[in-house]
Amino acid sequence: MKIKLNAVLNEFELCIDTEIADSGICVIFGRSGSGKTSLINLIAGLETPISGVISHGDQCFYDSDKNINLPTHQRDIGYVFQQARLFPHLDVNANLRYGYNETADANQVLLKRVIDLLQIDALLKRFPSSLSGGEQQRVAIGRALLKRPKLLLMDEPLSSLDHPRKKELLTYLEQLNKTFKLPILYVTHSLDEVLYLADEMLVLDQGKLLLQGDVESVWNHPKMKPWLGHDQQCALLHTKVSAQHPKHPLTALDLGDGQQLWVTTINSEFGAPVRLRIYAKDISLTAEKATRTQTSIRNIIKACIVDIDIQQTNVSIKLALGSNFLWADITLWALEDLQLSVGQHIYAQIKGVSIKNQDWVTN
Amino acid sequence: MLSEFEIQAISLSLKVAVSAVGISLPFAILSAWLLTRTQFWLKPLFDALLHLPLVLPPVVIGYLLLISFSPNGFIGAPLAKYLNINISFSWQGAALASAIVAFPLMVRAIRLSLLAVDRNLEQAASTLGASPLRVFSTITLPLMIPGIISGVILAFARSLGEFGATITFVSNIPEITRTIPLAMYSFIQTPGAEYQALRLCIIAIIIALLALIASYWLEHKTLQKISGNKGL
Repeated sequence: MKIKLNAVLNEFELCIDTEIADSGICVIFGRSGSGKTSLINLIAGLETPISGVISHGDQCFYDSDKNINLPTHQRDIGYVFQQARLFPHLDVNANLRYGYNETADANQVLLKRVIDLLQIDALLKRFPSSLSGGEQQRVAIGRALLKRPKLLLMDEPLSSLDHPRKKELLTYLEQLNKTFKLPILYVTHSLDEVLYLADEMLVLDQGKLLLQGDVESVWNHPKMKPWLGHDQQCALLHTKVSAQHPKHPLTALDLGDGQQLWVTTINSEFGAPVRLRIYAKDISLTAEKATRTQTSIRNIIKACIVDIDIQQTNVSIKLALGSNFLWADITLWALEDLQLSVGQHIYAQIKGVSIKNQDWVTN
Repeated sequence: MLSEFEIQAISLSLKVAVSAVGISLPFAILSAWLLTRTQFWLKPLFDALLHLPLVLPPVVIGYLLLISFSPNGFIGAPLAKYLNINISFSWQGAALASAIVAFPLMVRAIRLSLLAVDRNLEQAASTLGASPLRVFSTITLPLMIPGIISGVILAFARSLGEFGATITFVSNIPEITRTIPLAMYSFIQTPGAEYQALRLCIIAIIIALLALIASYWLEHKTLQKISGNKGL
């Protein structure tokens, strides 16, 4: 999809000029007030830019030069809002069917698939007010899907939910993308959701496009550091399941350069891709590799120093291993004693137990 | 039970009130919509004109209707000439007078309910492919129903009680324009008819109470439906 626009928001101007892949989940990430919601409102036609072009597939939504501004109801989009926005006077069934074209769906294949995927069969006769937040949001997603949009916009659909519900809905969202092959633009400020869902990532700051690209490259970009938070510095790694430990509940992940990383069991088949985040604070560096009978640490990985970023209190070391990167936080004192420099090889020690369930996702 | 005279007055009153509410409802919804959802240059004037019947003495309204709708009036003359319609001194005239007097009450109630409609829901409907007209008829209007009901009941009650504008515009003609209040007025003017006046008074109270009960019931039912508690 093509987006090139200028729009005036409350406090600043939104200036975007980009193209987004027509498949997969593209996450629009940024602080609140960075213009992310406005961006998808502009795409949906709920807000109007001053000038520019917005088009998706063969449909032109907006073109200031050609004087085109398609009203929202004629744009081939689905929108899942932060709050479910179900129609209170209609039951779940009627809500689902609001944008649904019965004649276009022979034998109700789509209807059955959506109801099945989101498990809302038991809710059909109920009214929105009697549903929990998670159930409401599931119905809202189903309602948007049944319109058969060519693009699905989602504005922090999980932010009004409590943690267990979030986790539950995330799994639905993952399946959604796989089942329907529908491009999704997903607005969020949660890094967990980025880790789980994103294929492509757009970072907005003050109405400007700061970064764009595949998740790993954006996440590991130095400009992302301020977003990750002081003690939340972490790197995103792309790995594959390469072995299960015969005796212990551990799984080895192939880091791409022949080295392995042991983490607590991931129940996936051999070769399954795993996206993993490792916090900088969980990595220590050593010049010499200890053997497994000398240290409790199972993961001692050889890496090359590619960047040394000295901050006030600590030092962030960027390490390259194969196609992946890692960040390690050490003290200035350690840096001086180890005499580290860019280009030097070193061993990164990662405690296997520091990688928790919420730190990885299999695709 | 009821005398023929009383039955006449009651049925005439109901006929006048129901017609008055019936004609003004679409206009009231339109006016409420114009006032809440649009911006136009003459809006303050429109708003003021709309509320005028609320503050003007009903006699003034009756008088204005009389001079404009009489067969020589600037509206009455063309009506009589081209459409052969003459509403002065007829029950239709009484209905028009009631409609005008009750109009601001109806608009106010409907306007409040329109203000309370969550625009986010309308947005959601438009992202689901609904045209503005469909959004209005399937989302906005159903959510306004409680306000429309209270507006209708208020206007209905006001119409039943209309006296000043009616007697000025269409006079007090038995069987044609003598509604309950006008009939009561006639009895009060007649020496020795206190008993009949009292009977009409009780009838008026009963009708008013029934209307109130009906409105509470309807409002409760629709509110329940809108908020979705079991619905049906």
